[in-house]
Amino acid sequence: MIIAEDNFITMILQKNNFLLNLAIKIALLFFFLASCTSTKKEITPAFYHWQTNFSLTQSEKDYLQNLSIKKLYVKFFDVDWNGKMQEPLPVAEVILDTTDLGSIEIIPTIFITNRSLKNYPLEKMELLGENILEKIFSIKKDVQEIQIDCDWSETTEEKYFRLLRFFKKEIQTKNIQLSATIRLHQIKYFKRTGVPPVDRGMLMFYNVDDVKDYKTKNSIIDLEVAKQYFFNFENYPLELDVALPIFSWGVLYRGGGMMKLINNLRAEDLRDDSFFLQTDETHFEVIKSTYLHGRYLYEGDIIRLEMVPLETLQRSAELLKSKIENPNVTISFYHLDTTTIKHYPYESLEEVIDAFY
Amino acid sequence: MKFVPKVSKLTLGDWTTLAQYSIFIFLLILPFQVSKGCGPYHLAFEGYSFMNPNIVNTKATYAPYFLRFNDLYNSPDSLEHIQQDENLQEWNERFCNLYKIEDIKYVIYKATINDMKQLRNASNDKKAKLPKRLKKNNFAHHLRDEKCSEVMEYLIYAKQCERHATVGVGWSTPKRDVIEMQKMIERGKRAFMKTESHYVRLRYAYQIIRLAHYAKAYKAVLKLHDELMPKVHANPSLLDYWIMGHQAGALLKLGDRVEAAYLYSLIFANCSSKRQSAYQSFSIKDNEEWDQLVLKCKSDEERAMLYTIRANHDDSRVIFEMEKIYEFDPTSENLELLLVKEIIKLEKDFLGKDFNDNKKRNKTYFKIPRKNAEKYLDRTLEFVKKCVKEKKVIDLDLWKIAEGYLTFLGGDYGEADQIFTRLKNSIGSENEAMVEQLDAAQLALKIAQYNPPITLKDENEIGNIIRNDPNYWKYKGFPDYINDKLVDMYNKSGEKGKAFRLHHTLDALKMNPDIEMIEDLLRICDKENKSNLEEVLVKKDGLSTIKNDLLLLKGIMFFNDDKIEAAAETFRKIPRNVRDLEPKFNPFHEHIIDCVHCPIADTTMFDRAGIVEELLKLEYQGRAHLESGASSFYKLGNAYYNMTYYGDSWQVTDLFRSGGNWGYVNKDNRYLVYGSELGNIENKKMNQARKYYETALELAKNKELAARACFMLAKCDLNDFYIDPETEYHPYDDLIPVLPEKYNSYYLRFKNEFSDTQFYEEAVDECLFLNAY
Repeated sequence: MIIAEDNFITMILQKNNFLLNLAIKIALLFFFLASCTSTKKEITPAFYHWQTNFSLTQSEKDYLQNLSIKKLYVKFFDVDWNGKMQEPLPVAEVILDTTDLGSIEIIPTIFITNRSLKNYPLEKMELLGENILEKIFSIKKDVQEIQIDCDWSETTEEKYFRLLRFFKKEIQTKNIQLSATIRLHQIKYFKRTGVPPVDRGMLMFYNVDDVKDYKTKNSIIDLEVAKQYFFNFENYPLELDVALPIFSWGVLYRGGGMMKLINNLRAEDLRDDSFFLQTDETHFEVIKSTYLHGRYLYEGDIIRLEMVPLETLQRSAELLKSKIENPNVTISFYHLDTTTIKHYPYESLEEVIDAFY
Repeated sequence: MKFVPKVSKLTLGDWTTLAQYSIFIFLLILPFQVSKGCGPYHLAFEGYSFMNPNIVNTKATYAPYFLRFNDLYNSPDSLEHIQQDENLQEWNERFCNLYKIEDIKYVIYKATINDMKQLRNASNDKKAKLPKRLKKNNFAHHLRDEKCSEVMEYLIYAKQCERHATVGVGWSTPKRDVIEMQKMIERGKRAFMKTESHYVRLRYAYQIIRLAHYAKAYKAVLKLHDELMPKVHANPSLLDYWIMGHQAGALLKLGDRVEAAYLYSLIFANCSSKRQSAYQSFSIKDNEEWDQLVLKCKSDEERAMLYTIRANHDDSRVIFEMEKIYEFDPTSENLELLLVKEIIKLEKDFLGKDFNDNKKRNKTYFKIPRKNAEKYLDRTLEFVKKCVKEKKVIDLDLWKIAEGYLTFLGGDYGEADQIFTRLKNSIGSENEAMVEQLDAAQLALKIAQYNPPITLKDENEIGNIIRNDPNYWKYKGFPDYINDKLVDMYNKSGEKGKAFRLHHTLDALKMNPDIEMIEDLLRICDKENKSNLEEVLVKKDGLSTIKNDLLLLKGIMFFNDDKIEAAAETFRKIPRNVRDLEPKFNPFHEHIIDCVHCPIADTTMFDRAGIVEELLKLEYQGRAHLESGASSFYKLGNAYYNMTYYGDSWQVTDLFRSGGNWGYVNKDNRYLVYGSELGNIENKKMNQARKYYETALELAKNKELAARACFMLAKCDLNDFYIDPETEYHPYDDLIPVLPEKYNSYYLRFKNEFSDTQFYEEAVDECLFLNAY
């Protein structure tokens, strides 16, 4: 019996060992899964729409659907200083056609020029705020978020922040979130530039270098330049979303000075060697005067072609991943345009989004 | 009067000359003071221009457009006025210019619909009264008396249309009531058909087509145009182009871009009130569209106009377009307008490119001179030469002057001179504007031809230009041009003083004295035969020169270089009566706390020469009686301390001090200052004071005196700490600085060795820093 008892005990012990092992394994698995799910970010893919006519083509709608786009930041209007009226006024108001957009959320985005704030007195910020909100709701009534885009400066910070505080106060009762665009340098030097009083910030990860400077390699995105601003993310008090560029342009130089930008320009537009001579990887000389994208170019003009290769987007995502620590991030691409999206298959942008996980 | 400098007796002529030069110098200096003040600073290109835009036919159709574009056409108000004025002018012409524009304006733009209805009633019913506001309006009387019912009906209709045609300004966006607009169009069409006057019909057509355009019924615009316009047989009117504008707008929306561009070019060519909007709407996408557009043109004049429109872009390469304009229409008056505009741009690239004192700034902020400007100038000159040779252009003399002027800008002075000389003999004196332009161009060339070293003869010649040449004052660029040229030449020939004085006041030199400049100016002061210009440069007021100020500065410079005997000798060269007027000081006393505005009263005061004598005396006493000399050395330390930036006698060693610089301490001790790019140097050197305090501390038998010397040495340390490049402390932070080991030895020593002295108690009470430590 003793033996039997021993066997029983041994059996029990063995069984217990097995159970213990199993319990430990299950616990570890749970812990592992729990730890995995707790660190995985929630990414919301989005797009910007920056044209005055918001009426998406079928190909654009399909593209958004394929990318599971949840939000569209639509520029409703600009606010610019009107010298004649001596007040900031809306310009380029969007014509909104939201047919067949399904569940995609439209986020009104307002671009406010710095000179509007510079010229308008501080005490009138509430009046400006009222006008902006009224205008937004006249275009779209049901809104869950409003985004303000303004490259404010030290001289306009006080006015801009007062305007944002007004927005926040007015819309929080309606459960509307307020976000603002943030430039890279505003993170690095946030103690000097201030932090906008909003719920979230949208980091514009583009226009990182001086577009006017002939020596600039790529003003839209140059990771070496961008890295110089990779400071203070961990101390920045706002949760950040990210806007990534998927646009291209040509920077036109005439007589040594920058003249204008030629939007949506791509290498294939400069292929005709009877008009253009490629002098290096990104520079083209106009050798015979010609129209290009509605601009008249003169013999001797120089174009610097600036594009955002997919690899750069991918690399940007990898760099930013470690910097953006908040659990929910919106990754928004700037901007939706039939010509542009042709050059970025949705599968590639999916990979860019995945890189943030 | 021949301008000959005099040395001794001043005649009335000399006084006049001096006065003129004083005005000249005052004017040279004045702009710096005005433009660089504290107000908003408008960053603009700084250069010269001697091309008078009014040299072209200012009555030419496009002259205001090309020559006054910025101030006229960029203002929405101005555009509105032009449109209104032209419309009123046409109404006036149709009524034989019988009425005051103001009366017509009131009826057309201000009278209400009710006013017009009452007016219409009054014309049908003699008992009916005119509206109050129109009682004294003769134009309204005419409409009533002559029973101009068609006009009145039209005006009522037009005023009713107006609310549908307002463009949204402000925060509210006008909602177009398209159904109501459609009704108005139908009503207008009926009225159009009933109307006999073809001019009124034309106006109806305009209102109807405009309504359709604003209702975004673009196809209807074209249909209405084709339907109504053949039924109008009015004389040419500006309304033809206003209607054409709506037609072009509809075509553009419907995708007929080339036809739209063609119509816009016609509007640009023929209708000044819509010229700017036509220019803005004119758009070409590619070469194919442009080629089609050129083919559409019915004449060479129309083709030339296309290139004129393209030339009008701010950033266009005008010469490329001028060549094409010339090819199609060499007699186009636009060629001359564009030529002048282009020369003014080239002046920025080339005039004074070597000596313009703002050349760095112009390059940095405005990228001027432009890259490849030489190539562009060559092409322009080549084209101008061709025009001169072929003689097809309207104003050949202007092209000849341009040829010479562009040759001058290109640097071929000899050739330019020959062209100008030939022209001088050929241009008739009756062409005053052209003669004046030629003179101005020749003057600019003459000044450019001066080379260093500049002689007495040159200076007198320049003096005569300033005094006698009417163009010097008429062309605002000349004073600066001559000034900058002279400065450049003086700098090249080492005459630093002259160069400095041409751009600065004497006060600017006081902020940061330069011995070479001082010596140069002293040399001029002592010269027996000064040129006209030199007289002015060293003139102070009335008969005196700046010599005494220069001696003072020189003495101060010696003083600061520790050459006190040389300083004393220099100070003594200043006449006694002048020295007596200078402020007096006593730097030898003690201040526990620095205070620059706290001179000790009721003590013996010294002038600078007296201070030097006293310093030498104390030094002698100290050295002669080493055992009891500590107090002499302490006084010497006080003197040198108080004569620095931190003391109440700072003026002994510096003629300009700014308290504001305290906030901008830097290792170079050089501060930005208004009035001189040399900056301001403050005397913050502690070395002399330190030397004497250390000697006093070493020799002091009396512990109280030693405590005093030790404390002052601690203050010297603190002042040196402020300007140490490694110091991160900022005085404006208003915090008590934490001194690193390098600078705290005397503070520690003061605390450790002298805390039992009476002076220590006193110092702790007075000095917050010490108290905190």
